[in-house]
Amino acid sequence: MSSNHDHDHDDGHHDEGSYLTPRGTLFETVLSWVYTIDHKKIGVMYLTAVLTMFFLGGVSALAVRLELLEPNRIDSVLTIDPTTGAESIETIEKGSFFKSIGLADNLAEANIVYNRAFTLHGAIMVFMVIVPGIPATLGNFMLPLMLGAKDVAFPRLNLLSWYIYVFGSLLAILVILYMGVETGWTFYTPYSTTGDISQWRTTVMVASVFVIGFSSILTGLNFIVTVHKLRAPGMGWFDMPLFIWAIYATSIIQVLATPVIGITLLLLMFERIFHIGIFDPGMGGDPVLYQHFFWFYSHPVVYVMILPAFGVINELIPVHARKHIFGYNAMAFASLGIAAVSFMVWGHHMFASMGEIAAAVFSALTFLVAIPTAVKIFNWVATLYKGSIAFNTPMLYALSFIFIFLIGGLTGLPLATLATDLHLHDSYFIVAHFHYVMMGGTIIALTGGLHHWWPKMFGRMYNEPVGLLGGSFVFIGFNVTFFTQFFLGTQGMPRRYASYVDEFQTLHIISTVGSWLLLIGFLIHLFNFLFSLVAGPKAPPNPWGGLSLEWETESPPTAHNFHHEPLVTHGPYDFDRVLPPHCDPEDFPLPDKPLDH
Amino acid sequence: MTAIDPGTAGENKLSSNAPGWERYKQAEHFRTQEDEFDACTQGFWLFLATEVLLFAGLFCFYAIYRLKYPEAFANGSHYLDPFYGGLNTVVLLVSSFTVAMAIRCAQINNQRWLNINLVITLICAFLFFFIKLTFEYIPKLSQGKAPGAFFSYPYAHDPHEPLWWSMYYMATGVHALHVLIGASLLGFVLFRSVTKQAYGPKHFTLLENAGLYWHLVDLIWIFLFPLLYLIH
Amino acid sequence: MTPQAPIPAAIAEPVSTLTEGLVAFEPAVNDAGWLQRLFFRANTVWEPAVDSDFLFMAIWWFSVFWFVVLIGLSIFWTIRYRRRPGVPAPVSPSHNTKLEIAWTVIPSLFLIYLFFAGFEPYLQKLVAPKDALEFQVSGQKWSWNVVYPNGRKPTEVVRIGTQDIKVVYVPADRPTKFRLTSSDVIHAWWIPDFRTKIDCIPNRYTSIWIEPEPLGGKDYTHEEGYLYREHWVFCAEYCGQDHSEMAALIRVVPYDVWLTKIQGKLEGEPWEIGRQIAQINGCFGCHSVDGAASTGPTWLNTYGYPREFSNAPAMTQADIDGDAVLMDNYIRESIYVPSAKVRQGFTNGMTPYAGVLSEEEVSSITAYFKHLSDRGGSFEPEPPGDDPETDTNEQPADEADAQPASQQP
Repeated sequence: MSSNHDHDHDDGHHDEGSYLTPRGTLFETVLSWVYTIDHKKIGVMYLTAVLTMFFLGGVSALAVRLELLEPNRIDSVLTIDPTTGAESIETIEKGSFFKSIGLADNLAEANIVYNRAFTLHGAIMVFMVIVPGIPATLGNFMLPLMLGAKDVAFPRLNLLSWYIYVFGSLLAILVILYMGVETGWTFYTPYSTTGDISQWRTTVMVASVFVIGFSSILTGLNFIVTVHKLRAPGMGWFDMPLFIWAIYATSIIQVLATPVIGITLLLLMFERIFHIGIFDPGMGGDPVLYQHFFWFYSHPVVYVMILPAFGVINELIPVHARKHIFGYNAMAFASLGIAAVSFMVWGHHMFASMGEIAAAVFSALTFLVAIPTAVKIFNWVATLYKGSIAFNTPMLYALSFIFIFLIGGLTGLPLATLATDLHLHDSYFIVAHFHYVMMGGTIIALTGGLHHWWPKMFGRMYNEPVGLLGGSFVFIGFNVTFFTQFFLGTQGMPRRYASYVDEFQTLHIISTVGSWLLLIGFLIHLFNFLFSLVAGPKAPPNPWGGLSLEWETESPPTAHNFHHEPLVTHGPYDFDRVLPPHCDPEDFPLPDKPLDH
Repeated sequence: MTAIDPGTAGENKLSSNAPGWERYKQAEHFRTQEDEFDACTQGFWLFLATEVLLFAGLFCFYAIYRLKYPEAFANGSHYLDPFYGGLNTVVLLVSSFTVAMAIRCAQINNQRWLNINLVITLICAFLFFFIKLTFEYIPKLSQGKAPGAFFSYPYAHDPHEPLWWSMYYMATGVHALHVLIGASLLGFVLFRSVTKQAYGPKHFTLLENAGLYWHLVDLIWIFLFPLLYLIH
Repeated sequence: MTPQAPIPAAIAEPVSTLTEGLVAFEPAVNDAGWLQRLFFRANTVWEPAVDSDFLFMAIWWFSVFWFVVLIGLSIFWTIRYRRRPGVPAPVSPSHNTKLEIAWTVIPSLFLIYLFFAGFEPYLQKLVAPKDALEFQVSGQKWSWNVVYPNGRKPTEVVRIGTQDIKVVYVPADRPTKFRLTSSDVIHAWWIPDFRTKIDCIPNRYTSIWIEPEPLGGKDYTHEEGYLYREHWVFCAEYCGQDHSEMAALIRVVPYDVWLTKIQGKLEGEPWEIGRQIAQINGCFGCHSVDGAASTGPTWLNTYGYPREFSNAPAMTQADIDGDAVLMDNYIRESIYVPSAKVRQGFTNGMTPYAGVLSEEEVSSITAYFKHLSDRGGSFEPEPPGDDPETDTNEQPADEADAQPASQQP
């Protein structure tokens, strides 16, 4: 570490207040946010933007579920005019939510509205919520704090990432809401390169995803350099909290995979504008090639979504169980291992359209991902053993995460197995599986992490019973919504269907009711957080007794994070021998004889 | 908020007559100027990795379609004149040399030759575009050797030649875009060097990174040139 | 289990005169446990499907075991080691190399088993025996074009939800291979009851096969005396507006019955044949014949009427009067190259039917167009109330013309 550590930098910052303290007039305060290069403010701005997108994506998900409440049908009714006695037959189109609220005139239009709704849901949730969900919000806020740094390596680049993200997101939303994009979030060719070729909408949508990709690359690059160069004195690689390891592995994937989707989307745009023929079977191009390139990015991105979630759980469980994380090294290497394997499994998205040998290779590689993932789950459960477990909202979310992610991971097995995948591919089984992994993984971890770090970020406590109530609703609602979809899939319901044959209706009704429970759960959390911001009790610097560096500064942190550059003398999980900073020893007692790690 | 700007706000106002590079002070979240230089260079190398991967995608497309339609690609490369391709290779190699010399001049504080080298580099960039447009893009497009659906060259030997031209224009076009970005970056560096003497032995981060970028642009061309012009 | 109630006879015109019998879904062999039935609803005894179901259930019980162990321990320890004020956490080691290696290696062995166990049924599902009957299937937005091994096409449709879907006859107890392609975007041919699917890719062939078990037991008896069984086919790769209506129905019948069912004969007046061809090929999914607004222009009073186009010069009354086959050419072109003349107020979303409909079939459809127009020559008013077509035929022509354009999104 650096030897010429200089305390002079920190002088004069002692009375500056927190990063949230308004400065000057309201206009100046707004400007101080708009032009800020403080990673904490940028993290909060990302959080606001991501939650707004989550709301939009959630609304379209609820609309999709409502449309699927009933299958579409055309009923014929015989009516007899009472005065003339003339018989006439009327056909009535029924079963469409979109038609009943006036978004569509007939069932054909309702199908189009449905396709737009699920495209909106998929594109927003993947590109604008889950990918930046944890790294850009909690990661941005916590990474420098946990490293003991004053900021990320490139603060202005960080702000630029946020503006790129917001610009791209607004572009995408405007184009979906005003013109409607029906390609699904995957933009599969040749569907995305034919049909509406004279219109700009799909091209603009692809362009906006391309733009958001830059935000992702720049954030990842920034975090990698930050981890390498800005660790506090005394913090070696294996003294880092596992959240940092997760963010580091995520950043590597972001930096390496995003350029490939960049060139693919660029070619897709050129295909649409100049008709270059690369994906056009009529000109000798190969539409399946697009899928290969798309998934070469989008499969690693699945781990961009889930690795930071692992990282969050790695913090929640040790802190709230007051226990050293079980198998720290295994955890760190599992993160890197998952990142490495993630680049070799993209082909399992195309088992129904590739050669047998290629399918066998990809199937074998896919099973490989299961191993480090299983190791992580075993380690989390083992961490609970002989802990001192506080059952609060973050812990509830950590346990929910293990429960849900375990189901998500185990249902990956029949999808990696070639024989069973041929049946389950593109069915509701896959819909349920990736919601268990992506929503149940990332969003559950994000919500749990938000509760965990909320006091640190905003200096206010949230209401614990209300948090537990919301968490329970989310947990039950999630399982009701998505567990039913496994059965829909095995029974034969294909994904992306606006309507279906009648025998699937019972399960669809259960799933739709579950989505309402989810809504209630998230609304409870929203009100809890808003109430906390306005009238929540003031948070102490270290409410949970955490040992990582972010708990050493105040809540909320000062503008420059720490009054003095911290010196790292203990590991982030040494709960059995280190008294947490700013804590009463009676609240967090130490055992008499610590074990040597 | 105090802005953390390595270029302007961090400058030491006490000796306003000193050249820019001497007055430079690192952003305050870095401990030393060396730390900042290391971080910036590491970040830039990562960025170059993303650029390489972007082109790797293009090369993959090239390889796949070349394997699929070898005749079309062999035919296609016969339409290209290796002379102009070679000339552009020389132009880019010369410019890479002058950029390297510019960085060296900054390290030994030779401000005059630093600027001259940068000017030569920019002239080379201009030459590259001039050759590309005058002798390649414009004559070919006017003959109908256009990508994809716009292909209208009447003497094509192979039905998949439009795909070859798509690959050609995509690869060289994306590369040309990078030449443009690199030249703009170097132009900005030259501007700061001339007006502020911003780069010297103690501080030449941006110059170094712009130079790295320019080498990457050169390197990609070194791959594109044989793939497109020389392999039949 | 029945997908829908039968359509009232009066409404069956023009959509379901061809339907025979009701669609019913009770599997012939249903000796699987309740759990397997809950997962898969119907069970076949086709060997690759049985093997893959066995694997699925094996994975299920493996998953249940680990799930119960891990979640059970989590809940137990969360309660057992709940936080008590002033009491420190008991001391325990933070890693155990032997344990960690054990729980890495042991599940991995099962994964290796799964990989090999999963590969063989997969190959069995994809590679058809050499003596299989070959059906040619082409996906098209939004219907399946099926050609029987004798070159004929299916002639029956059933109404499911909002769409007419084709009935594809398949012989029992014989291997049937589907050779698949697509004429526009990527589709996927999924037969859930046989646990198999494959993508249909334009400009390329893919294939899968099935072998329905012999008929008998709980299978249904047709009014003509033979046994039959039915299976859904769904499009599993997203393809746009009517993706969810892009289904087909496989009807398994005895081989001798199958031989008669694939003759593909249509009967009736020329226009009636045209109507059936249009119906079988899914034309009514986008075109109405009663003047109602739909995705595409209505066919009512099209023949012999002037038309305006967004991408071509208008077809005036004088043009029509001056050229005896102008309308016939227009209809043929619109079927084979739909993008050539796009009606004012519509966008072209139609897949070209070149290579799908033969010249003879187009000629029959033209006859149907003539029948649907009061300028066509064979227009026959029918008694009101009998047939919905007739009611709407009485609408003024210009009103029917103006409707679709104004109702377009």
